[in-house]
Amino acid sequence: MNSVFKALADPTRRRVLELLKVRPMTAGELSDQFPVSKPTMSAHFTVLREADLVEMTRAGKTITYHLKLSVLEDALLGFAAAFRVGTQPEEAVPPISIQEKG
Amino acid sequence: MKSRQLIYGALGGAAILGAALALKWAQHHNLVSAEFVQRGVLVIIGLYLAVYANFIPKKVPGLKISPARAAKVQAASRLNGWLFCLAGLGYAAIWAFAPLGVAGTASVAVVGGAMAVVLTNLGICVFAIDRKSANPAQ
Repeated sequence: MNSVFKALADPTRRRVLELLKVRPMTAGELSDQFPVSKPTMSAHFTVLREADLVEMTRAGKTITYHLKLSVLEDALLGFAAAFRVGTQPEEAVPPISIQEKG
Repeated sequence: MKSRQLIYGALGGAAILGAALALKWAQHHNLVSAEFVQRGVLVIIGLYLAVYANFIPKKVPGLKISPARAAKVQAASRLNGWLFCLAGLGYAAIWAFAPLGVAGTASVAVVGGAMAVVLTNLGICVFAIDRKSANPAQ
């Protein structure tokens, strides 16, 4: 279960799972959706596979990923996305500085 | 994989029977009432349905079907899993808290409603796949 929480804690991996909810996709199709290198995406896929959240099938040189979420894992994904687990605040609010009048 | 599923199914069935026997034994020794036994067994059955349904979407369609068909199977499987899981939890909650006069009808309505939606969805899914394979140009 720890591996599932680890996999769902990253917004990129959550986005991969959201994309796979629509249909099974090849590794290339998934990688094209993200502005990161292919080795980085490959590492994300490995984490998802180790958590048993996706299934990989190989046909020739094409690797296709299928969603493999249980109902509980699907609900956890929804919670993690709703509470934006692992994301930075979109706009960092600068700390309020009060200048004392001398 | 199949043998593991069989083992889990058999263990689940044995757990339900064991719990029912334990409750009956407790009733025989005047530890619990007959109503408690009835509610307890049906709550366990509802929870078993929820746990079983939780794993329905984990089954990935095989390699031999087309991507379009795999997407439809995946969507149907996710909907079935969610509906049966919620129906199982609802069934357990009804038998745990609702008055006995209402619980029988309400619990059957919840599970029957979920089953009707699932069967309708499966019918639509199969019809769409058949139409597409009959007219590949669509």
